[in-house]
Amino acid sequence: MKLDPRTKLFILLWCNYLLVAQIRGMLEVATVVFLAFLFILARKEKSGLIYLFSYFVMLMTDYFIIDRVGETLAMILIFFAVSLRLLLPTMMAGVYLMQTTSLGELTLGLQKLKIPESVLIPVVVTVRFLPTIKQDYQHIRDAMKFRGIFLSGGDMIKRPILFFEYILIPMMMSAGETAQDLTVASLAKGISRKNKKTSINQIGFHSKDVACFILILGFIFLHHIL
Amino acid sequence: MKKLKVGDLVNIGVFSALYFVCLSVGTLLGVVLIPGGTHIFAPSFAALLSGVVYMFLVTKVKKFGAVSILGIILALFYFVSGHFGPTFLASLIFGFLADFVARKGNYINDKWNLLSYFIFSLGNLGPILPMWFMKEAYIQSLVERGKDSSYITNILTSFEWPVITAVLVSLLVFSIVGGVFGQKMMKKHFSKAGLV
Repeated sequence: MKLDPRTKLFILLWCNYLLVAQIRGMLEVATVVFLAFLFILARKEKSGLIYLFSYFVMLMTDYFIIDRVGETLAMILIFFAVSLRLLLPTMMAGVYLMQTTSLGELTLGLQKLKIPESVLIPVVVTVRFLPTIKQDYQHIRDAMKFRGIFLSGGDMIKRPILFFEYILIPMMMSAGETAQDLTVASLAKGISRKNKKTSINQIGFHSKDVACFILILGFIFLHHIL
Repeated sequence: MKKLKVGDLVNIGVFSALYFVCLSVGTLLGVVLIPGGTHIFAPSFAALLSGVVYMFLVTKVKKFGAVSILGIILALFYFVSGHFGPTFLASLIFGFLADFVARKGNYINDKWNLLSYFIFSLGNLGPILPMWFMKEAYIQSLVERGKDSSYITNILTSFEWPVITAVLVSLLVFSIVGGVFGQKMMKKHFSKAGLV
């Protein structure tokens, strides 16, 4: 099942609200179950069930176990079962957004939300560039080995500043060059044109999205009535 | 005010990614090096590491908006990665402030850039804010259960101000060290090569 990126952002927004307003009880349960369902419908059954299971464990610990154990153990358990439980819905919604949305879809979604280009371009470049950094790091480490410096972990701990410098400076040099290449490439693809842009991705609100919106709005309504 | 061109935007994106990596490594260091599993000193370690990238971005683009957009990107990442609401407000606000401060020195003055770096680093305090909110839920839950909560509340509050001061002081010191280191690296490597 595919949702519109904007719907996913809306779900994320609701989860943030859940956290800020510290809503607990039935609405929290409903949200977590709903998110777990989204994971399962997106063919990520495993992570969905893991989330659901850990939530269930937290809930059970909160209601049945904590009252029966000693003070010290209770303090630790409360931290996991109460404090971390607050963060779970937002985390799930964030992971869901990142794992089920391609960069192109996200770009299109943000474009349709009228995010200005001066923010959109850097964001897209950042997401696109993160994997490159990992590659660059590997190359730099290889080059270091070739020269016989910082071969072992001990060397790094002995001279951390030098190690940091030797990694970061080449990385930034190469980043500067990549930035140049990306600029040229995107200019060649007409990024600076002011007309409406087309995209190979097709996103839009369908019945599933409407259902999600109605559900979340129902949650909000319930929260304010009850 | 000069407008940002496509090249500037791409540069901001690329160096935001690098900043993001430095931030993550710094956070990791902060969690590993400070025992007790708290991540309240993570922003300080992040400030120690990301000076070079920040200084490079500021002096390379030399226009209003670079630092603000870096702040916006961080805010978006905090939001998407499921952080707490006010978290990303901190990045936004301190990003804009840092940009204004850096503009005072036309983005090339070392002292203004250093000050702006410190202000920007304050924005990274955002992610540790939930600690305080979570603590409330924690205490509340203890109270609800009728545990010996007054004692626990006492301990938690008596540690509050010293801890906040320690976080702020370490952030100040580490951001100055990181920033000066960054400026030294800039002069050593990039100014000579004519990259800035």
